[in-house]
Amino acid sequence: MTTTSSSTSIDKTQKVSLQVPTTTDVPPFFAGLHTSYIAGLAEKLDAKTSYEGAVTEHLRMSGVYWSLTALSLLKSPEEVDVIMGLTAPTAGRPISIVDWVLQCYDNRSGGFGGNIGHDGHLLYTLSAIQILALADRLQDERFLNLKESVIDFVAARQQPTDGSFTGDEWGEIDTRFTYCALSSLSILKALDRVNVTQAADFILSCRNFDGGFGCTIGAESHAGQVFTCVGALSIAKSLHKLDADLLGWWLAERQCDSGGLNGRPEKQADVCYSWWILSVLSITGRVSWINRDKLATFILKCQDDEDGGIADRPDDMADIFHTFFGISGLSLLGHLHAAIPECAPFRQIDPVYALPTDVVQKLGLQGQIMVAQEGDSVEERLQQYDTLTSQHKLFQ
Amino acid sequence: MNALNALDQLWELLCLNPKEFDIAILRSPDDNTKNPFVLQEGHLGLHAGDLPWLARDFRTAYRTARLQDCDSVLKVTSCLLLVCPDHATAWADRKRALLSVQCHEDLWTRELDFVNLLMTRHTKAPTSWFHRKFVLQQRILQLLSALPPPPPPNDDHDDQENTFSTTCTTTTTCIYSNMVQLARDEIQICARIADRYPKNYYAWTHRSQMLQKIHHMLQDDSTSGTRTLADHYTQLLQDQWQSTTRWLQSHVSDHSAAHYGGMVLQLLRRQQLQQHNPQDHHQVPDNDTTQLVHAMMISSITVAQQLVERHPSHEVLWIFRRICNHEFLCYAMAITDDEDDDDNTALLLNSSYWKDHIDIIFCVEGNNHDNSLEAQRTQLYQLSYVAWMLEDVGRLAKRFDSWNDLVRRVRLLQGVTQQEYQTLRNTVLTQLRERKETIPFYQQQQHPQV
Repeated sequence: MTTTSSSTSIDKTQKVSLQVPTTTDVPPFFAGLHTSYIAGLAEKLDAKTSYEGAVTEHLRMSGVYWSLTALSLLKSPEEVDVIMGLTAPTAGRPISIVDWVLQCYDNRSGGFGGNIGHDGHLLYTLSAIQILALADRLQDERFLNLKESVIDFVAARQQPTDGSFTGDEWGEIDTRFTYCALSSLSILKALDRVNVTQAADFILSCRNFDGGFGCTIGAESHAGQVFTCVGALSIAKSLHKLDADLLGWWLAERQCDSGGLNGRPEKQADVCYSWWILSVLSITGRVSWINRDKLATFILKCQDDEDGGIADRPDDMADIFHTFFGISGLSLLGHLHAAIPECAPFRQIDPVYALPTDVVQKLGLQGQIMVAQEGDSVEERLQQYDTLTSQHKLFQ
Repeated sequence: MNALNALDQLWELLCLNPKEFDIAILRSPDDNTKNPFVLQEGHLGLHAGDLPWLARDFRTAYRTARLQDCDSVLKVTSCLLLVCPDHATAWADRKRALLSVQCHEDLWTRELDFVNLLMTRHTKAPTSWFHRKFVLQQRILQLLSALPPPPPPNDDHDDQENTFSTTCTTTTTCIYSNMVQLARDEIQICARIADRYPKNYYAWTHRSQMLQKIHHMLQDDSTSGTRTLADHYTQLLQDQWQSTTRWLQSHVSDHSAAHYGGMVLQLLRRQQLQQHNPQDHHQVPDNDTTQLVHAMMISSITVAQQLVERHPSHEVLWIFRRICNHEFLCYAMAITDDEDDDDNTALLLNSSYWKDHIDIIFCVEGNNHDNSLEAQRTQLYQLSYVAWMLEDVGRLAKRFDSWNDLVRRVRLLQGVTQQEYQTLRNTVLTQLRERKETIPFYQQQQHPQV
């Protein structure tokens, strides 16, 4: 494989007009700028004067995962490999991303840390596994040697009392960690190592009267946590326990006048919820409960039209998290694909595992999705999952 | 300035009384001297421009120090965490260091002082909130370790045992008072954080977990001291209810506060139920608590109603009303289980629960001509609110064999026929359909069965 970037010159001017019918001016999707933004990110973060680089060193693993996944929706796997130096070092980098990921393994705990020399944590263990899946290196011999210990680390996080998961050995409990654990184990084909039913029941104990979920029992509903909870229920194939109508009602009410989605009532809209909320609506077959065109317009307005990247809201500074959330949101809305005869390599995002659909299909990952009512068609990207038809509960 | 100097200098400042100041990030380039830290008028200022190199240098120092003694770890993580507050490994090293030193009386309270200082600036780092919980847990264990051992099983020596119990009760009472005070301190800090950083998810969650923690202690523990704890706790919940409704009057869009208010009501309701079903002889039904909870449940309906009347275009206040009504309905259901409680039932019958909701629909219909954005939004919140309330009643009805059974048991709904319920429901759904075309579940309800 070529290791220089010359073979994959980035066309910064690549723009795609998404077919978003609306009365106002909608900017095009700056595919070329986003590619160059992601490609140049590592260098920018490593610069001595970078504040972001200095204060995000400990969560670099997640940053790399977000970068790779976002770029994977814009470029072919081969191009992503070369641009990012995924499996072989790219110009200016001493080692490949895969080598670096393996160096972040924490021997003491058995999990992966956020960077080299850090303690193992479920958050970064999932990111590491996702990166290896993206790189098609889950069968790498070096990883196979660690695999059992990684599985032990994840399985040991489950609390026998209530089925919840702790992030690391210190005991912090959060519904995010349940998702990280179930997703990791599902990718490693080791879900049988934990009590999946009990894990799902813990998620349900965190449900509020409004149908939403918080980070722990009794905590306020939060759209970000809702994703982790519904994602976990999908992997646990326990969506029948969900009150999808009640939850969908609450999620649909998150759409603001700007078209963007907020995470809690009367908070500002933020691009990140385009991913957190849309993925749940997609899993539960209810994307049509929000105004899709207005949301796509909002995401497009949050792009940086000079340097690429997407911000939390219009005119704010772009960052890699919101770039991932924005591009993934547009993918879930179908907009990236509808307009693309000229951009064939755009891959789709999978709402359950947050990986490109073809990666999920190749690995044969399992899960469950819903259709809102009998006869609704299932999106092509979700067809490998078990399908459940909703039992309507509202106003019956 | 090199890293060692910066580290030493910051540490020296942190060793002064950290309760006396807060952290501020200075953005103005006016003081471009060599000194990255300024201590002035109760603020420890860090220059924004220095943060990248400080973070890098503290990190380098941390890599060396984490392999050394406890003091070095505490020193370097104190500095690093002030610029990287979500550094999970640094927090973990700190816990290891604290657990390895000889535990002395103020070890954990001093650690809380450090976390308090950090949270004057950084309030959204989940790991820092977990560290706070960890420290509190250690502090609680420290307090509980002073509890007297359980009484000896031998009941031949009645006199001796009585003396023993009295001493025990005094000590226990004192310890439980301290614990409630600890919770009150935490709540106060959360309130301060929420004041500076509005709608802070972590602060409100932590605050609510403090209340839940005591609730669980009361559930799990049946020692003689729990009577005192229960009394303190009821008082605490009552205070929390009052401060939250006051807060909502000036923070009308704070959903975290609304959710917290709901949690307080729920805990009060459960507290009362628990006292009605004592698991052991120490917890006898308490008439004062019963009356207090009852009065609060009734007044919560009024308070919530007044809030939306004052600020009708705020979604959060409608949600708060919805929360209060939900709790009220659960409460009404629970107490009408108790057929002897005539006083309470009578009070419930006097409430205008049903009529108030019908009035909202009339109000929306009356305001149909107002097309301003604010009016449209208000109407949507009003309709959604009534739709929710009807859904809540509908769900409750499914637990009974017939509508009549529901009305017989939940006397709040006495006099309401199923026909009236269906008519109101159809009206609301029709109106919602006209206003919000993107939600198909309203559309799916074209022909609800009567």
